[in-house]
Amino acid sequence: MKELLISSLLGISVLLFDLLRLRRAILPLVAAGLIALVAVVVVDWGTASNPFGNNMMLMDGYALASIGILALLTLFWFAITSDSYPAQSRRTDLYALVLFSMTGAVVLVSYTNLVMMFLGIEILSIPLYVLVSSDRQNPLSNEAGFKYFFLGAVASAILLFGIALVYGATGTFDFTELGAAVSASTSNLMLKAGIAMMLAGFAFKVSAAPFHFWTPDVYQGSPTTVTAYMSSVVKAGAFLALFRLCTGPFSAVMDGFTDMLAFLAALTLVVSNLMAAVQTNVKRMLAFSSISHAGFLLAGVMTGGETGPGILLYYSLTYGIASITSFAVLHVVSSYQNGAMEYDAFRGLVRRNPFLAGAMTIALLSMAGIPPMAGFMAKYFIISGIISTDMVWLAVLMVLTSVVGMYYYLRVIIAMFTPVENAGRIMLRGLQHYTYILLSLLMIILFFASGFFEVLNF
Amino acid sequence: MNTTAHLWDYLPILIMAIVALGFVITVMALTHAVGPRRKNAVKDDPFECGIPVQGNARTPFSIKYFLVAILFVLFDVEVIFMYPWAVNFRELGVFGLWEMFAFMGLMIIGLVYIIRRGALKWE
Amino acid sequence: MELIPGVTTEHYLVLSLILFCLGIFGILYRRNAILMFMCVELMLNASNLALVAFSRMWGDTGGQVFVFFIMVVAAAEVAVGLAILMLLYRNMGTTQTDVLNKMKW
Repeated sequence: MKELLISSLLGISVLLFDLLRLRRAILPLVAAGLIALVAVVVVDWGTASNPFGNNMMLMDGYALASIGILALLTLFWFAITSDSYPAQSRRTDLYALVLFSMTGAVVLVSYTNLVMMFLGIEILSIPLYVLVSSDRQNPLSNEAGFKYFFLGAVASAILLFGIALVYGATGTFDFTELGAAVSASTSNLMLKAGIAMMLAGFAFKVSAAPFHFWTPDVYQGSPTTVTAYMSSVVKAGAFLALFRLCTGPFSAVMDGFTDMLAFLAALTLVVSNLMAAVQTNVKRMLAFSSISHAGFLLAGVMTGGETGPGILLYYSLTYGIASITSFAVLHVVSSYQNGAMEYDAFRGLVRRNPFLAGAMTIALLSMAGIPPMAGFMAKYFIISGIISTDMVWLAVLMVLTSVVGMYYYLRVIIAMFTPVENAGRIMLRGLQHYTYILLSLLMIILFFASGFFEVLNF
Repeated sequence: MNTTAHLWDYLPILIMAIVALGFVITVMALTHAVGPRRKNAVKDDPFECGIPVQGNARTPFSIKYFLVAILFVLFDVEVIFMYPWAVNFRELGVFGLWEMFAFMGLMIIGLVYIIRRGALKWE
Repeated sequence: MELIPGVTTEHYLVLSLILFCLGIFGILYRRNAILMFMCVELMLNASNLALVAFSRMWGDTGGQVFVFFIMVVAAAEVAVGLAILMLLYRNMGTTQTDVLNKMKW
């Protein structure tokens, strides 16, 4: 309850601060609010939690851990983009929208009712439609906004019809009753159709192939800072919600959908990695790389089990940090080069600003899954989980596609270390500077702290 | 009270609809058949105070109107949440009243923000 | 519980399925953003119809309350969607979706 109140009131207070002409205090307010959110999670950790709102939501261990991670990622996002938005009025809207969207993610990790799940998805998505098209003069941003809005709305409609069918088969939205009703009628055709439609809707939202077509366009067209937010917090929220659904009320029938999910994961991995390898635009390459991580996360959802939640949380956190860092670096680099986002834009970055180049190298190596970066452990956990469920072919595919991934990540790193003449230096302000250092350190520290997540039990 | 209605009960409505439709069709056909028809270019022009017509009738209208319309839709639909409250007004009592105050308060913050940002300024 | 004799839940379900499929067909077939938009609304309302019918079948008000929420969500989506459409129209001068081809592959 407290977590939901803090996150939703934070967005409203941002608007109020703007009305009261306290624009300079907005960033400190947001930082304090998000830190308070993490603190509340830590305080509440381990205490018995009761469902609230007529059994609509429950802050169990999984929800608390997820909220902590989402709040941390949002905090990192605010810190690293603090310089990109000058203290003007327009910033207020963007900040409030980001916070409202995060509230949607908070709802999405703590729901115990299908109504709340749908509302969470919409609260997460609707502010994002605005954020994606927030670069109003840019036709690319318009196009991205329209595509995202339109396909998102269609996905919501499909998901909603799935919910309606599930309701028709079981007569309830509540998780406990739903779980009982589902295990009592596992072969009900309407139930199966409903679950399949819900999974398809979710596949749209998490951008798993073959429902991924919007992702590269939207990621490329939207302002780079928004892309950083989408690929970290939004992606983590959607996957954590999917996991809550699959391991919760639908666990009795999930066996029948394992093949479908495995197929989706395999297709996602192959398509995204091959497409990423042929890109010339780094932002688009990172978008496809984000899809390939969706393949890994989908496999993580599939394995479930005792350590399932911990692994998924670990992957979301490490990938979120790496993608926030890489998109933020891309934003800085391209803004110094008239918006150029080709591989060449990164040439000589190590001379122009060694901290940026270092952070980018660590982030890309983490995404590629090279020790001692946290991304290696994340991929290792998922692959070993897949092997333990006897799907060796999928594990082999994961390793093979990771090798392809190495190719396009290394291209950026090589470009950064290519010497270039008369390179102007890139200056960073204090807060941003320290955030890059912090995130780089975290990506290495998390490698050694991975055992903590593996034993995380709910 | 028996809530089950019969199709039979809707018969008057059906008759009413048929009569209304029939009247309209009859009158239109009648005027068409009886009235004289003289066509020329000037007569077929749309009438605009007697002066020659300028431009297309389907010109896009001001964007300000659009913004107000969108905001209207948002605040209009919020009334939907007052409907269940109105139905269960007595059962919910003071609790319902406070909940509705909280809801309305949030909506008013939104409204004030919109006004302060100048979204409703016409000029 | 039949409100009208002879009209069962299946009838409502079939009607809502027809509406849903019409929506999907319209989205695939139409190239005008506003018409596509109306098709999405059609899909949402198909779900609403199914939910209300099921709600009556089970004698549970949950489905009807959900419909309230869906209507509000749809209104919010309409507001945001039309604003994006307006932006598009101002920059491109059309609402045909064929112009959205700046990004491929």
